Order: sequence, then structure tokens, then C-alpha cells
Amino acid sequence: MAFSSFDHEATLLACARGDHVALQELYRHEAPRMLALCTILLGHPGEAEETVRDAFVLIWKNASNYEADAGAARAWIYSILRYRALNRLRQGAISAVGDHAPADFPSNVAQLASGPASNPLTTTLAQLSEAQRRPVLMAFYEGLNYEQIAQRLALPVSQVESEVRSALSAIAEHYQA
Amino acid sequence: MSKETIVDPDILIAEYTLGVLNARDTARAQTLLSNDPDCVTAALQWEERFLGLVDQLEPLAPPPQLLQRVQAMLGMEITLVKRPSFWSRAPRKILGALWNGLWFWRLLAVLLLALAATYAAKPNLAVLNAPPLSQLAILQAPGQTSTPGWVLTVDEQHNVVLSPRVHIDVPFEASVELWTRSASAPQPRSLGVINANQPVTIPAERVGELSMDQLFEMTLEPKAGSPSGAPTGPILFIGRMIVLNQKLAP
Repeated sequence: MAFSSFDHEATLLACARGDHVALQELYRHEAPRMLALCTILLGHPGEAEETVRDAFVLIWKNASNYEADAGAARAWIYSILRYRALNRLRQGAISAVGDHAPADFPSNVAQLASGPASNPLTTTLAQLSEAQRRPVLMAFYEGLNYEQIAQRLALPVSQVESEVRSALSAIAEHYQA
Repeated sequence: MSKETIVDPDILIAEYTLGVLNARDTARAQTLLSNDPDCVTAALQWEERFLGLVDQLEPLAPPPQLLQRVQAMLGMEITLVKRPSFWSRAPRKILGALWNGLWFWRLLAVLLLALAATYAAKPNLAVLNAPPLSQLAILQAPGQTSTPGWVLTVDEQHNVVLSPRVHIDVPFEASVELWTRSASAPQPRSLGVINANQPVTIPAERVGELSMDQLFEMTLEPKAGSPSGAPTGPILFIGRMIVLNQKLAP
């Protein structure tokens, strides 16, 4: 993960106390990456902006429900964003899932392993086979589920499931090591 | 996921977080998340791991209005975006070169001499005929006393002329409505829905009689204006009129 001195947890807790400036700080720090993710996921700048907007509204309204013991504040923020984006993608707000141009996301081994923001996840993904790595990246960056990935890659769903589970197990092992 | 396969709950939660499950398995994962706090922790742990993929992306600068949209939806004070001035948009290199050039100063000196000769010969009628500015209000966003949002003047025909000094973004489903009130008529009276970023003139007959302490405010309202006839949304700008050349009480 890219190094950042920004204190997401303190800022989120300040939001929970009703601190408007904290929301602005959180927005200024995180909105550009949130917008980048939504743009690549939804394939449409307007939809991406609306999703980021809705996510910040939800973050503000639910900040008091965040419990630091349950996990990292930044992960909590992105869980709201990605849930919202995937819902939008799948509930017909976008013309059709996967209709937009294929996402231009970092996918090859060299990009993942030696990119400017290489991290334990990308290092692990770079060590996997293409058959394992590719569907994980398609799911994360394009918002595709098992059936859609299988269709796109012309593979049986069971095979895609198996490859993704192997990849997820490898990632879990890497973090537990 | 096939029916026969028994998947490690942590992997099921990872699949759910990644977003690959079908509706049936999504429901299974959500049941786990509702009943087991450890699964919530696991989901956030996976979300944190996947942040490694977020950080691979080149950040995209959001349009300045996006934060304002968030604030408008939450009924917060809007963070204003200052309109870029002409001088900040002008090609500074050219201006700098002119400023530093000898020929620029020579030409300016000649022009000033010519102007001085003209004005020495006859009085400046344009200045003498200018209508006296007598009523003025600076409308500001609440809490932002250093940033004028709108300048309001009253012309000779008693029309109210408003000119924006900042740019704001109004959500598609909303509008900006102008109101006025005074100590003697404290109930806000609508002067209509206005374009938030364009100068506007409110005719004298619509403005009605103005008091010395007349207050003007703009609020964020539904698309067609307030349905109740009174302000319902947050105040975007507010300012009290002052009367110039008014004799102060001894």
C-alpha cells in the first residue's frame, strides 16, 4: 500500500463527532483515488462522480457506526464505496455490465510487481499464474462476477471459481506468513 | 459457486468482498456477516488487502463542484470555489514582457500625456453624469466573511442588480432562490429562483419597498423553488443592505 501519513481513523472519528472540516480533509485526501477506482469500474465519469458523492454522504451519515476494533478506517471507507459502485453497476444504472470499454488497469506482472505503488498484494499477484491473477483483476477493476468472467474468458464457471479461490488462498497465506 | 463445494468461510468472505459471487452465495455471505462479528472483521481485512489494487491507480482530480454536491446533500455550508480572475487567466508571460519592455513605458507615457491634455480642455462629463451609488449589499456565505459571494446594488429605477463574485455548482435537482426580509417585515419574501452563476436584475415592482435594514439571502431549494413559499434549504449567501451617503445620527 502506498505510504501515507494521513490518519484515516482520526479523521473518520472526527466526522462521527460532526466535524465538517474533517469530511473536507477526508474528501481532499481520498476522493481522487476513489474517483479513479469508480471511473475504471463504471466506465463513465458522471456515474463515477455520483458514486463518490453518494459514498461520502454515506460515510458522513454512518461514521458513528465505524468501530476501529473491526478494521482499518480506510478499508471501511472503501467497503462503502465499492459496495455502492457494484450495486450501481448491477442494478441497471449503467446500461449493461461490461458494456463499457475494457478497463485500462494494471494487469501484467511487471506493472504489478514493480509499479510505483507495489505492495504485498501486488507482489503476491505477480507471483501467481496468469489464469489465477487475471480473473481477480477483472473482478476488482471491472466489477465482474464469476459468471461474467467465465463468459468473457470463455471458460467454465467452476474453473474460474477454482482459480480465484487459489489466488485468494495464496493472498491470505502471504499475509499470515 | 457450485452446490457441492464447501468453501472456507474466510474465502467466501473474500469472494464476497471482491464481488464475484452470484445472488445466492452473496446472501449466504451476508448471513454470515450479520451473525458473526469475526466475519465483519475478516471482510474489512480483505478490503484492506484489496486497497493494494486501489493504490495502483493514478488518482483523478475530481471537479471542484463535487465536494459542493456532497455538502449540499448533507445540508452543510458550501465550500466556495473562487472564480478565476481575468489576470490569473491572462498570459502572464506576455504581460510580464510588456511590463519590462522599454517601448511599453514610452508608449504609455505618450498616451497619458495625450489624455492629460484632453481632460485639461473639458470636464469629465462621463464622471459627472454617473448615477450616484446609494444602496449596496455584499452577500456572503455564512461563516465566510472574507469572501464576497454576490454584490447587490440598487439602480436609479430602484431595480435590484445582483452580480456573482464566486462560482458555485448547484445540484441538478436543486435551485437557488432569492429572498428578502427586514425588521418591519420579518417573513422572508421570495424574489424568485435565480441562476446561481449569472448576474440578475430584479425589477423594482417585484422588489417592492426597501427598508434601511433590508436583508437579502439565497437558499438552496428544490428545482422549481421552495414548495412552501418560505425558505426550506440551507442559506448559501446572506447580506444586509447599507445606504451610502446616509447621515449618521449625532
